[in-house]
Amino acid sequence: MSTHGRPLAAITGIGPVTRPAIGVKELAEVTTLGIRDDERTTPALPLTIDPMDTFHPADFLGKRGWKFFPEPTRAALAAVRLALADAKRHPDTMEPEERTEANARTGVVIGTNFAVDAIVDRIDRALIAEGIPGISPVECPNFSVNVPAGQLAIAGGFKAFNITLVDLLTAGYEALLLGARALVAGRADSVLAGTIEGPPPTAAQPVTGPRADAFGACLFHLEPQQAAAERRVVPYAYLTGGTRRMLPDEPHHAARVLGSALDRLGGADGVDQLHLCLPPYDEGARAADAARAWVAARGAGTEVTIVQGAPQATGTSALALGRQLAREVRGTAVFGAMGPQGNVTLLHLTDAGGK
Amino acid sequence: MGSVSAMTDVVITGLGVVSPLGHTLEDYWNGLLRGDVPIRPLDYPGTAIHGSLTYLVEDAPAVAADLGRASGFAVAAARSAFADAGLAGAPQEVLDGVGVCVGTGNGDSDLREQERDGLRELTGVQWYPFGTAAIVASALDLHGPGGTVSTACAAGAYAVSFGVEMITSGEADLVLVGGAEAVSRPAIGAFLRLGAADKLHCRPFDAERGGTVYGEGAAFLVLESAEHAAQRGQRPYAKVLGAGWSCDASHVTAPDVSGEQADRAAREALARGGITEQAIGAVLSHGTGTPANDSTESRTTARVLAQRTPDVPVAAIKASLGHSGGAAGAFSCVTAALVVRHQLVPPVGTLRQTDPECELRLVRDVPQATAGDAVLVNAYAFGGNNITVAIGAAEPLSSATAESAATAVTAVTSGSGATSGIAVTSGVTR
Repeated sequence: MSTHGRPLAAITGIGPVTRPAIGVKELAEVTTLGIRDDERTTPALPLTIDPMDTFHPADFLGKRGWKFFPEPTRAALAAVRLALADAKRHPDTMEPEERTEANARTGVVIGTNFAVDAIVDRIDRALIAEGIPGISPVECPNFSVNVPAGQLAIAGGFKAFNITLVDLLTAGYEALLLGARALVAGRADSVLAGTIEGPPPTAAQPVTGPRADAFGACLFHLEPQQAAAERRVVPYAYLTGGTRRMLPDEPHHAARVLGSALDRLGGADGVDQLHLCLPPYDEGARAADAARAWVAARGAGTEVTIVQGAPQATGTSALALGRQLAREVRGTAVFGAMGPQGNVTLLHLTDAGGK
Repeated sequence: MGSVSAMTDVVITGLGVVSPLGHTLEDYWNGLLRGDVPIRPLDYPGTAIHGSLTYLVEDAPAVAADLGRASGFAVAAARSAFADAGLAGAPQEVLDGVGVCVGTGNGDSDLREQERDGLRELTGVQWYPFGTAAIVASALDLHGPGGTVSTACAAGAYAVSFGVEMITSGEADLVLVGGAEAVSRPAIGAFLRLGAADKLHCRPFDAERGGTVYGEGAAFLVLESAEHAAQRGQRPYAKVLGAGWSCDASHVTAPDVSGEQADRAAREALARGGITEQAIGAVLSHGTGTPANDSTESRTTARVLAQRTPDVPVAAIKASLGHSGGAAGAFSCVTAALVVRHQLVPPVGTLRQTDPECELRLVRDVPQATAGDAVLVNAYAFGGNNITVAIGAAEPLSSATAESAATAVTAVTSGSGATSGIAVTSGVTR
């Protein structure tokens, strides 16, 4: 979709249920995402998993019906509620039939890296230790990484489609791009797109940084611009385009491919803000330098913001986007996420007059 | 970036497989047409899944030793598809714009299993099982858009649909799409724990089917706009007409027995492809061999085919490939392209006694001729994920092509083709 054409989607709701923030108000006030400055040169630190001790499922999901769900799924179910309420699709404000019909025309696109990683690990270790009977029958279906997204569909009756994307650190932005394009293609009337994460394995430390969160979810509500206008919902911003690239290993070649991708989104002249979420340590630093060089070479006044490290895995970039939306998007902005294998996803947004 | 164009024709110009039937298109297609059932006991000593009957890949093409099994299959199949599309040796300016989209359920699960067993120390990002798209891109030096979808057993078909979208959205002129799956100990363990595995072999739509049987492999397709293919002088196998997506929102592991959303996916694929059920020449079913899937799919497909149900041949290639999870839908799309090219539908190699409740015209014993230009590919999955992809002729069939297919069917049904495979193979080499 051309960044000069109609918006792909209006972003009308945000539902963060994460360690840094639960709810939009808290998200706007988050000061630090990614790794801290004093953590940038210590890649040998062991990975510490920070507990998600601020989330109480019963506050969102009631007393029953969620206890057999894995923690990432509980957070995601709560995130759905927050995102829908933020988009003025609160269950209490809709007739049951209206809600059922709207939900049936809603699609779900989830980006995740570690939603079931720990579960698969437990299943395999149980199988090794005790054979097939050792596998928990309750936990058994959760070996498949798309089950958390499926649980959201079952709970909400979201039938338009249900997709799980898994590229390392970029899957969340890919989910937003895919969800927006699905709206344009008429595959749904609205889309819940975002991230669900569980605890990463210890070996993920070079990708997350020295700390990672135990679990969390951050979902966005997307709908066509016209639908938002008809519902009299002021969007946070419009998603107007996006693209993905797989960068080469060689730094100069990678910088050229990244610059080409940024050019395709309108060039520096058309971008007021460039927000990038990058891997920690040297690889991310090189990409940050390449992005700053791209801006400098065009002599534009683009404001560049860099987050390095991913304590929430693919959720960190979702939080960076959500935080900026909760504060303000002025003019045009490109949000980018890059993974350690060179995957880059860029989203182009324009302001919608402020929510 | 380019503009969205749902009107862009996307064609299939290259195919590649690494499969239990073999690793060339000829071996693959002939194995399907013969209804081969290459099932073998799994060699996983010291574990509870050792000896489980599985459709295994043997003698896979050699790739880098440090790759996981699924990624190794993917790189080999992607290379084959790329070469088949006449792209081997393409200049860097072309490669910089080529996209990759991969579907997989468990990715490179084997590397983490070996680590748990104390047999391997992982390096780099080997601990992450879903890096196959990046690995394929790196191996082939591709730098267009990339993506990995993991909608369980529908992932490969979704990858094809997303690849089409990469082209119609202007993100790429050319995309490698496909699926890859390898034996995964926790996944097989989970299937066994769920009681979802047949102890004999995969018997889709059979009255005595007892569940599915794990398979593995990779299947890749090269997609490009019809205009791009014409500029390169590349004759397509087929065209991707459209795809319908839906979700049951009913149960995590079982299909909604009403089939309402699977039905919607099929009708949406037809509508997006600009065709009706009158154009359907064959159906490549999801056909897993589980009682619930096959009975639901039978009813749903019969509803979609309506009065044409007795006439449209239905295949179930998992009888010959097993259930390769995230690769399965890609195998079906590769097969659909071959079906469109050769106008032949492979038999269900394990079918002995059709489920009496199944109204479909299942292909038995020998291939059948197609009954129209378009092939429907169904793929369903955990989480209630459904997708149907419609694949059709890139250009209207000539009477000579149809006559050739009819001749081939005659040869096979009379025995001459089935014994040699030659009569039905000759058209594979383009």
